[in-house]
Amino acid sequence: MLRLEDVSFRYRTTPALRHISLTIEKGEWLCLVGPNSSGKSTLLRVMSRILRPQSGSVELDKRPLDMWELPALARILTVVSSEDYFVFPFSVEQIVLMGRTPFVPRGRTESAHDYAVAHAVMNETDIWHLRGRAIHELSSGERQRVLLARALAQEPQVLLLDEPTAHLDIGHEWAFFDLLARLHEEKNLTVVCALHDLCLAARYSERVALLKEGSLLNVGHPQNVLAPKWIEQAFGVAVDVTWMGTGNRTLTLTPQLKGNPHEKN
Amino acid sequence: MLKTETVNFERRSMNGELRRRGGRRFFSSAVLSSWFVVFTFRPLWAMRIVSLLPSNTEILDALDVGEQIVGITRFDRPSAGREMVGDFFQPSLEKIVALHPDYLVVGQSASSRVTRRLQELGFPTVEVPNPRSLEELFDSFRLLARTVHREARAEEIIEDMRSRFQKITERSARIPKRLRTYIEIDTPFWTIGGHDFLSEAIGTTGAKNIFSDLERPSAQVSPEVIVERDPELIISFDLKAAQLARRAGWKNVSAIRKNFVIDDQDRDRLSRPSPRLIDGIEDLQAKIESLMIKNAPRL
Amino acid sequence: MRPGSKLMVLSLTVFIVAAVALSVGPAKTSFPVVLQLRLPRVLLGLLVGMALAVAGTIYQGLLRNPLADPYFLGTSSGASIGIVLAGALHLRSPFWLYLAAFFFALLSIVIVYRIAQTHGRVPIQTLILSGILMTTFINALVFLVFSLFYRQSFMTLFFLLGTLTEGDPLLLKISLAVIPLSVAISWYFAQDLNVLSQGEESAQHLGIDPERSKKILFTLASLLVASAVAVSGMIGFVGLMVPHVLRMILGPDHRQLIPGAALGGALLLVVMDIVARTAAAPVEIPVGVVAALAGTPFFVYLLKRKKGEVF
Repeated sequence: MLRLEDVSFRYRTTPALRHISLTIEKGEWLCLVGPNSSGKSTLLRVMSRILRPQSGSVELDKRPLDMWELPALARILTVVSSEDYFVFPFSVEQIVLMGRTPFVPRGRTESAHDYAVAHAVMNETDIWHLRGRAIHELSSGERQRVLLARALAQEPQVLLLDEPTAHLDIGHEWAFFDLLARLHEEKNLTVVCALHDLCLAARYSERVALLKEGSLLNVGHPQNVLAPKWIEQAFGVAVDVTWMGTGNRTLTLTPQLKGNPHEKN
Repeated sequence: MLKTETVNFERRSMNGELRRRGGRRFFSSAVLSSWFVVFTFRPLWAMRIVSLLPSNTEILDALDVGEQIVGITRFDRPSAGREMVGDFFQPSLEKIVALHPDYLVVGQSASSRVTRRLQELGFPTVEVPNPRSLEELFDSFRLLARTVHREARAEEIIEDMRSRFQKITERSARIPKRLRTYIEIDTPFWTIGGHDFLSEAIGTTGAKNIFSDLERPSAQVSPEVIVERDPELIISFDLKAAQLARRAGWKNVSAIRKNFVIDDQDRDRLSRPSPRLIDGIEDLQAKIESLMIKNAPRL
Repeated sequence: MRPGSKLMVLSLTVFIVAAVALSVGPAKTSFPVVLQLRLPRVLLGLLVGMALAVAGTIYQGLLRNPLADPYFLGTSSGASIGIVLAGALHLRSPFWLYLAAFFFALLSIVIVYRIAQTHGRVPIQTLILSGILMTTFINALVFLVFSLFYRQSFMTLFFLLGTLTEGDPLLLKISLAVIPLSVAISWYFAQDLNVLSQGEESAQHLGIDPERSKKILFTLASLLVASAVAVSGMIGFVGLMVPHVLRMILGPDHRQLIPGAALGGALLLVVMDIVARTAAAPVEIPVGVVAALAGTPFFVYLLKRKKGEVF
């Protein structure tokens, strides 16, 4: 679905991505993990064509990303970020309907079908009861669901998420990811999600890509990638890793004894 | 509102003598003190005068003391031996100081801080108010004459002007009717009201200012009202007759229809409160008469 | 009421007010007076009000800032320096005036935008500050050009204060074509504004090229401002007040807001011009002064009301 080949990107002179090659299959869920400024967000922005890599190629559906018309691209791939901010008092319904922008010819208004799609995704994301409320009256959890709904209204095949739950408490975070998992299941949605939280990544993703200083350290099954050796290499901390729960999806990280300050004395 | 202030300020500075509101304060403390200085310390040799208004320069020239003028504004005619010191509202104080003037001749304006500043610097100043009538115009001649001790010359000039105005009035009395006149001193639609010497001066030619009811020297007026008052004569300082005729709704104004538009007068001569005014008014009368002869059958 | 019917009511109000404006004036109302004097003026008021309000709406949307206004952003000043410079260089043909006004309006808004932009956002403080900087700088330039090149024409200066009194007929005709056309094109790009008002990256994710749309919309807004300034001088506050009030009535969707602002701006300026024409008749007050007198308290109210709210 999405293929990156030897992608490098620099902000002015600072290299942010170095020679990254990565293929994302249709319908899979890949999490990008790594320490701060390891290039997770940059990689997502390269995938969504916000940034253009100085070298290497990005292909979506075997077609270079640059060749896509923006509306056509927006009908296949979109992004849920946690950075949206709202100045004007748009209602929830108006925001979700904006997800139909790539389908509505310029100068026209949304058709009945567009409304139907918007209403359907509002039901799926459980924001139907908020439809008349102004966006900046909502809590961050609700707002994040609205942004997800707007992205889903684009009926995308690929959904990119950059720390979508950064501002949410743990209850809302889990609810959000459970919802995303259901949609991933039902719609065969390809999900690429940058996450800080290794446990979340372990729990939901099918593959994990571990980044450090713009390079791809390892990519593969969570149990292979989130191993002590790789975590220590990426984050510089020595940990013990335990896998529990159904399908061994629950990851527990424990600092190794020698590094535990409470044990020191 | 700050903006308004600045713009007004600039309006005056560029043609101050026409716009300033006059006030009859001959015995204001500033003037009295300047007289005091003049009377007490007047040197025996020629005075050095800086004139900050073109009209005053012209009056002083007419009083035959032109050789005493050492500083003028940028709106004056340049002349050898006279240094340009800027204009009334933005004079170069340094240049003025360097000229060692014995006194300065300035306009009278409430919004000017320049006069006060000059007085602080120790220069005697003579403030000449903007005349609201011909009598006040003559008074301003007398005021300046007293300062330079040319009272007799001033009376000569005034007498000459009076008699020539008299002749103009007599001539214009023969005109069958007094023409309703619109005087546009600046675009768009800036005119003079009844409280301006020019309104009276032009009146002697038989032209009656349609805005003489305005109790102020100048104002921007409504085009509707101009058309409604239907001037029979238009005196325009800025726009030409053809441009006036292109104005929306002006085709049927009497003056435009009969081509009674005077647009070729020397603006400075006609608008400055100086002795040259009478020449301007005489020319104006001649112009009005020639227009009337040309259009005689239709009148 | 649905937005459509609200717009209908608004256009009806514009008609009524225009009719009132035609029948009120310092002179006795007669057919020729109405036809030859008031009609062009009311028409000019409608057009200029429309231009300023739509330009304000576009700037507010693009800058994601409900306090943006062509006057405060220095765009009007930019257009004015264009006109003054063209006059100083004796390029007095309306074509050159227009071109210069447009060029400098665009230049000044681009500079203000560049100064104000930090990390992809345009915070209110830096925006207002850079707008004031730009206005101050350009006003100084205007005065410089005046003192260097102009002798008598303080008319031009006064004209910059904003009045609907008299425009060059050719300029008027150009504006008659340019303003409605620019408003129509802006309306066509209304959804771009909706999407852009949520951030440029979001816009791109929704299939809108933010750079291209921004260029088009800034150009349109500058054209509108240049047209307004060229025929009527600098009139503030219309571009600020109108989009605000209409956002309260119609909601934030620019597809309703742009036609709404066009109607509202036309309405407001014609009303203010009635005051300017008749309050001190037969003396005229510049309509820019009326706008500032009415607008400043409104601005204060906005600032007070918005305190504590997130922009």
